[in-house]
Amino acid sequence: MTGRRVPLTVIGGYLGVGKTTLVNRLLSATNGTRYAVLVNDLGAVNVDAELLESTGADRIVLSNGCLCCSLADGLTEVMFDLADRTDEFDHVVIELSGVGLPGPVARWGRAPGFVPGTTLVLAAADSVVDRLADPLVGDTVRRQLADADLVVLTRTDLVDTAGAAVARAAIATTTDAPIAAGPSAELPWSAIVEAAPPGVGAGSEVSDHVPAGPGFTTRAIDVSGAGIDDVRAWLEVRPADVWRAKGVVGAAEGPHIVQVVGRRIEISTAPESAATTPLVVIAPDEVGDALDQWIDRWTAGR
Amino acid sequence: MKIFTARAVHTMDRGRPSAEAVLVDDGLVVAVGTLDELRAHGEAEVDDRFADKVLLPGFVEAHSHSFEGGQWAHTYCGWFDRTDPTGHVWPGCHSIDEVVTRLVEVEAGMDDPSAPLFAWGLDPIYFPGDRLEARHLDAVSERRRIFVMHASGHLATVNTAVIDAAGLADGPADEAVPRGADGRPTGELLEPAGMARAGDLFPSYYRSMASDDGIRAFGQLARNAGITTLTDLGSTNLANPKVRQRWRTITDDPTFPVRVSMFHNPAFGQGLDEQVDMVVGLRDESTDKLRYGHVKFILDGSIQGFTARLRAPGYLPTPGGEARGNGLWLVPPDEVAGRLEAFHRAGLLVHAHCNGDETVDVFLDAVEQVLTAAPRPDHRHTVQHCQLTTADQYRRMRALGLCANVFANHTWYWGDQHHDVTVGPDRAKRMNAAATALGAGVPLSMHSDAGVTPLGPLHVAWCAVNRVTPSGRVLGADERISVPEALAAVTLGGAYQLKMDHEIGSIRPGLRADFAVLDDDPFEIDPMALRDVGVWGTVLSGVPQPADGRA
Ligand SMILES: Nc1nc2c(ncn2[C@@H]2O[C@H](COP(=O)(O)OP(=O)(O)OP(=O)(O)O)[C@@H](O)[C@H]2O)c(=O)[nH]1
Ligand SMILES: [Mg+2]
Ligand SMILES: [Zn+2]
Repeated sequence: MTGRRVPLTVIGGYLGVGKTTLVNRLLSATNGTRYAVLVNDLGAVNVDAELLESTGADRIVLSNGCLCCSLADGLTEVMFDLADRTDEFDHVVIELSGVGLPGPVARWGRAPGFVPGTTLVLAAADSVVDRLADPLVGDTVRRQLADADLVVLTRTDLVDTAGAAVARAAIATTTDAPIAAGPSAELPWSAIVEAAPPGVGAGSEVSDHVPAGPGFTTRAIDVSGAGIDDVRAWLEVRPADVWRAKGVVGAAEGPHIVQVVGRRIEISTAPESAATTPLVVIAPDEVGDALDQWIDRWTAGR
Repeated sequence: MKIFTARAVHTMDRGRPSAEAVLVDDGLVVAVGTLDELRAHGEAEVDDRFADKVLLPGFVEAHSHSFEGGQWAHTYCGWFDRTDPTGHVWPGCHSIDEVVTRLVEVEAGMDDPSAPLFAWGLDPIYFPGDRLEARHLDAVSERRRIFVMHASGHLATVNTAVIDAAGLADGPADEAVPRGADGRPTGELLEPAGMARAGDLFPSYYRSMASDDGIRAFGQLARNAGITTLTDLGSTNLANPKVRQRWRTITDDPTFPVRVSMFHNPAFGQGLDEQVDMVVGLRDESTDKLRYGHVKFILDGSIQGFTARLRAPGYLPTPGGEARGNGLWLVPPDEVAGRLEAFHRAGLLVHAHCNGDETVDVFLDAVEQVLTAAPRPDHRHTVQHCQLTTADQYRRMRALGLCANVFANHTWYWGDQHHDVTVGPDRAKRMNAAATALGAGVPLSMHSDAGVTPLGPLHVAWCAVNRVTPSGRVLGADERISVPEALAAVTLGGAYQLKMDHEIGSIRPGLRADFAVLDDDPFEIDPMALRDVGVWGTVLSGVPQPADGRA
């Protein structure tokens, strides 16, 4: 045990929804973060070996297990091993099998060696409606989506606007998590996944500037000096579609790490010495106006 | 050459079902017959130590896990009486008070004040309405850290010393560490992620399940139950050469009294092709007592944990009347055929854990698809547990050449719970349908799934023959099978499913001289007394292996 705690991000979703594709995108823009990637190597697409090599990421293979009849749960052993050597990487990303439930795995985020990261559950625009209606796996897909902090709608290029709307509506029956969708090659995956609060030891600092891209927009808001409860109260009333917000807030009570991960808010104290940052917010283009109104509300309340 | 005389030798071999003696040479059976008949083979020493005993083929436990032995490094506190590797019987703890009393006694005998106290086997399903919490364990010790693993393996209860040392009361509440009305953690830690919050305790408990002493205890428990061939059904990481080296060293020791067939579980391993190559390659590492080359799939969870996948009508509602969801898939149903095909095409044998009947449907569909694409005679792929497998499924299994290994022990250990809580009286009576399996012509074995229930083929057979529950019910009288059928299932039936019936499982010329040595004749006693038949020990490759306390 090194004492260092690293964020644990979980990527779930049924077979073939693009989980590995997302992991590869993440690895292709790491900003220096050293990832330990746990993958189910029986998947159709493998994690790009060259990317792993070039970014110094660690790849560990994992399958589903259950303790009901054997303790043969491949994950437990892997997590003990990772917890023992958290000095070797900055962030753990776990790609679940197509039937893995994200919740029980994400809870490792509070075990020694880890802090909670993002639980992303992917759904493919061209299949999620059928999957949810499937007599064998519909309930599993529903439970997976219910565990999401943030749902990612993939393969939107394979359906028309109406198809995407139907997919969104189907997902919305399972969760109130926001749904990130867009040309997936261009979504800011690293900004969404990376936690980067100082003191938990990620490789990169919180950048106060995530450039906007197609389909999404960003804002940086200075909330320093405010009471942390006021910050929380204001975050509680954010537009429902905000994907992500994060920063090291210099609150009246001292520095705090503030994370909004989809529908979840996580606030913890940061070391006194931590460098503070503005709060960076990432949201889809459509919420632009609501986002500005919400930010105005903060400014007006000061 | 040596002749063992006995009160009776039951061979499980049609050509000569019973005899009075068996001639053994170089670890193999030369002949069975009368003493006179055996003398035809030449000079042989007569060993009459079993003159008042009954010999059967050594029992074959075709579904067990080595952590059965590892558990005994710690204090047992389950509901049923359970015998440890030295033969000592630990009475069941029938209330939380009795659990606490047990732990107080053990705690008092511990020398090192800083050592944690680990216990296992707790099953709150038997104490309805009452849950073990930290406050109970604080009565055992306020200073020593205590970690009690539940029988399900899905949760543990710890005392306040652990809660404080691990800072579990700090920070916001969360699902893995539930809190009571007072806002303090109750002491329950849910799932591996929750148990891992107890600092070093869970890794140390988990790793102790696979200790060298645990493997040795596994062998001891088997011998004490009359078993000469065990399985480690996919609980050990065989991809790790260090793990295999340990098993090799331990099983090579002549005092290790049992053969073990080690199954590879793809939950530990690399890509599918690499796994297939690995298992094929491992066959070369097999020895007389250590076998590799088979594969275990785990496709769903357990019925008592409500995680097995059930066909309609699914689980009974909760006591509060709420509908329960279906269980969990551990492998995507769409992927089962692909995985099976990879191992099947390489000529490997696959045993698939399917507790629920919906899971059996998925596996049978996969088998049919794979066999259509890649026919292979005599594959002996096996459905493990088969707890809710229905008559139509058994008929299909017969047509597909599949075997059934039925979890007969469940009738005793959870039969009343299945009747009252999980699936209700009708399906509870149909569970573990050994008679239906035999009637459909499906090759049958039966198992304990040790450490889930204790090793003990006589107990397993007793369950299938009597189907009695702890409350005294006969649960599904029509699914009872005869004593000869049950004993065949736990000898030859197991050997067949491990593809070892040309070596073990019956007593006839040329087979290994592996015997179970019993105090009474199970064919002659009241079937209700089957589980009480004393076990002297075993003979392994012609060498007597007395149980502890016997000689
Ligand atoms: N057209 C299109 N294809 C995509 C998109 N995302 C992923 N794919 C493709 O979908 C297929 C499955 O993607 P994977 O990344 O392997 O999906 P997965 O969830 O990791 O799959 P499993 O691990 O097998 O469950 C691959 O062929 C990808 O190239 C997308 O946004 N658009
Ligand atoms: Mg994948
Ligand atoms: Zn098992």
